[in-house]
Amino acid sequence: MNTPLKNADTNAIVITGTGCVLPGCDTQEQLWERLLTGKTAVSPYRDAHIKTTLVRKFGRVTTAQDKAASQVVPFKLRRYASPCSQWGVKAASDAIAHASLDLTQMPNDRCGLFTAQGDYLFPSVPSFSRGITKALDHGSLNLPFLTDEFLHHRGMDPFMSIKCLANNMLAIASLTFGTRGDCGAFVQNKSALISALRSAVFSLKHGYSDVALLICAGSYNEVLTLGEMYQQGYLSPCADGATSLRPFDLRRNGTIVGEGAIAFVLETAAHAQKRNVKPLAAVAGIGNVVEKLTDSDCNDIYRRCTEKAMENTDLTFADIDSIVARGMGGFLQDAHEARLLADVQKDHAPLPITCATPIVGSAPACPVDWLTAIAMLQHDCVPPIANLEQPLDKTLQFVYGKPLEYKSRHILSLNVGYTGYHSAVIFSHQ
Amino acid sequence: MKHRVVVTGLGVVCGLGYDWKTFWQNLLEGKSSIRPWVPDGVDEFPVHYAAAIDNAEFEEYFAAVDELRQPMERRSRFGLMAARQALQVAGLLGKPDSSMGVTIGSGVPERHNPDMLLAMGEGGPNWERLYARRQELNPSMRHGNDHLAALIARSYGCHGPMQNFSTACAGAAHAIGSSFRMIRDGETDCMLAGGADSVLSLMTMVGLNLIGAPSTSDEFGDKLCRPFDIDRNGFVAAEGGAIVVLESEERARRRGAHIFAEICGFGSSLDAYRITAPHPDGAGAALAMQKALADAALSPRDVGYINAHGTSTPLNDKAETKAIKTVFAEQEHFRQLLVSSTKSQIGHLIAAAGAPEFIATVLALESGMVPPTLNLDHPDPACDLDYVPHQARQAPISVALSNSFGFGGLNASLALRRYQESPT
Repeated sequence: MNTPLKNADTNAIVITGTGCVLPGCDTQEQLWERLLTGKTAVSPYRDAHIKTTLVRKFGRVTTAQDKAASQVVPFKLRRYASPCSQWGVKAASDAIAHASLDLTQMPNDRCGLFTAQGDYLFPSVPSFSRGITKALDHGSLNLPFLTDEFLHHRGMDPFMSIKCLANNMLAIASLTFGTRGDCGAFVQNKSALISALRSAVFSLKHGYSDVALLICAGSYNEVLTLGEMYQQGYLSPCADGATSLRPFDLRRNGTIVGEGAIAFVLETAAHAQKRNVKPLAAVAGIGNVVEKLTDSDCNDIYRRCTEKAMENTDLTFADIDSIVARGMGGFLQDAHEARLLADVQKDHAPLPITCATPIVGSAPACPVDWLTAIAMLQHDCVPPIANLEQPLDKTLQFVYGKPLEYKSRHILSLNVGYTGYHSAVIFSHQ
Repeated sequence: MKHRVVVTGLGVVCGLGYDWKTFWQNLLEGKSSIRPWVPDGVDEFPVHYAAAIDNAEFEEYFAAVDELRQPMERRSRFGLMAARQALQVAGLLGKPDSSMGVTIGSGVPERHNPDMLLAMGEGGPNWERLYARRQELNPSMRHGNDHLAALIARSYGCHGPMQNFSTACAGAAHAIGSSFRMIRDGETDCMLAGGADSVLSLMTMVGLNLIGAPSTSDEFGDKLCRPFDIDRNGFVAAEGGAIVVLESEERARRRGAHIFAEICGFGSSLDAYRITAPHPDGAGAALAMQKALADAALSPRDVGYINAHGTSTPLNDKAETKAIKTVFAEQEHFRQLLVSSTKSQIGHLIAAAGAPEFIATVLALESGMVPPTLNLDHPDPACDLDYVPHQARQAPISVALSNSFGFGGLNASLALRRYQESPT
């Protein structure tokens, strides 16, 4: 058990447990070790249903991790659960243990459950590949035959409709943990994360829940999404292998995408204090801006998101100690993000900036940046940006090469979304 | 400080109409939008009826609207026009607003056969084949699931919080409930909230059929959707969108807006029972209603009407009836309640379902007319409430609930009150 709180803001919303299923990392500490040493966990792309030489590397959840996750889901539920849902439930189970939380000791309608999912992975090509493969006749489609295969010959995954529920993870998690309280399920990358976090914080702040589980999971391993990302030129050709994802480096040439799940236990500081549990961090502010990006403008998005996150708090930008950036690794994207980072720090001394993307790849609705910020608050250290050797902008204080011993009390996690959804979250020492 | 939250704009696009007045008139007249239906390119399909939107009618009705001239998913077209109408009704169209947020409930993205087939090569799916033929992809496929919320925000200048709920058939109700909370608790003062969905594609309907959700009967023709009837045998799928404008009372009165009704409570719960079936006693549904009433500081005896989830499935209607009996047990108040399912007329809009039903509840409070449950010819003995069969009924109700329950075991209930002005 951790040390009890002293002199804390008892109204604050705090995080008391984390769990993760990430490429190469099953705990926050394993992620932290990789961040400190710059050891990436991306691996060659492989998928039983997708043949490609264009996507080379991927931040992949291993078969062993898959298996471990499925063991946490009750046997009768496994056939209904998508892989992402299983990872999410495993991460949540670990977060609950990390928070020393015994759900059986609290009313089941006082535990809120909020889930964020990267995108829909179902229906997917594998969901109905068997039927389509049989129905293809000389390159054209025989729809009546296909329909018959789907309906009567198991040409389609019979539980596709359940797996493609956006609330699949919410349903599986509520059944696994027996929670019946306030809830919300959100889809689509960063907007889902922010919505789920905002809802969880709101639920706690206004007394709709005593504890909230926030479960986030996603994968970019879906043919249409990969196709779109390749077409947009987002993916690195990976000529340098796993070191190819180089955020903010002059030699950057694209991103490596991935998958995974992260879960958090949130509660009010007062509730944590009552349980005699020390918070890992407080969620001090959340802000977002919706604006479609154009080539030349929108250089103040981070500033506007940050201002929104600071609304209704006592914080000003002068209180921020360090920044966790997105760092996608794209040539244009990182140049743009560097402008956003410069703008948000305008009139202030440059702050240490890090990012976690090169370690596990860029996974949808998988807030590795938040987990990194929480770890930074505990370790009084800013980890280096892996694979960064020649920063694209030397006026910004990118941390690279080695960790920076540095105490942060307030960390700003910033994210620019290339679909038009941008956000800022402030994590504070509690 | 808590703020009263009022409804000042209504927009609905569904088989019963493309504006709230037509929708409401058709509801009260007992019209139905359920028609024979078959997926494109298939002659034989086990599901024979649906409440589809007529493309030609829709195009004609919104022919002058520029926002529609861009690629987007079918559901987004419906949702965008519903949002436009809600803003127009509220007097807010063309007035970008720094505080107005957008919260939308949406469901499964559209995946059409031709798009998926592009990935198929000899011997199975081949990603490089898909990539080589990427130009043939339907452009709307490239949009994420939060596209509609972002599209509404961008099109109409909404700069407040944005959320995209994906809680199956409770999605729109969650969106409205979440927006209500944000305004009541002072996070913002105006929200566009609702949902849009279309599941009427081969892939999605096959998937739903495989788990036995939609009715496959053709015994009753267009009277197939029969909530609470002994012969009900599954839901009838529909498509469309509905959006409302919610505002703090202060803001609405300050700008002289017409107030349709007040939303005063929201309850959300999980069954934690089974993923494929509701709790047989409606325990989760009852909890959601109880939470909504407690949230609104209302007694069960205050409630006069419930717009039921009423899907016309054997399990839901029985469980919902039990839940209502549990919540309104005191002095058997359930015997005085009016309960109706507008799904009997508009079908099941899945993720969007809660939004047109919320609008129907708003209008019932404002007009004192309760829409009917159609096709309730032989009530199930297990469903023994007053479901307002066949014909709309005049009833000066002052408090109502709108229920939405989602597949996977999640529930939402919204409490509404006929608007009475706060003393100045």
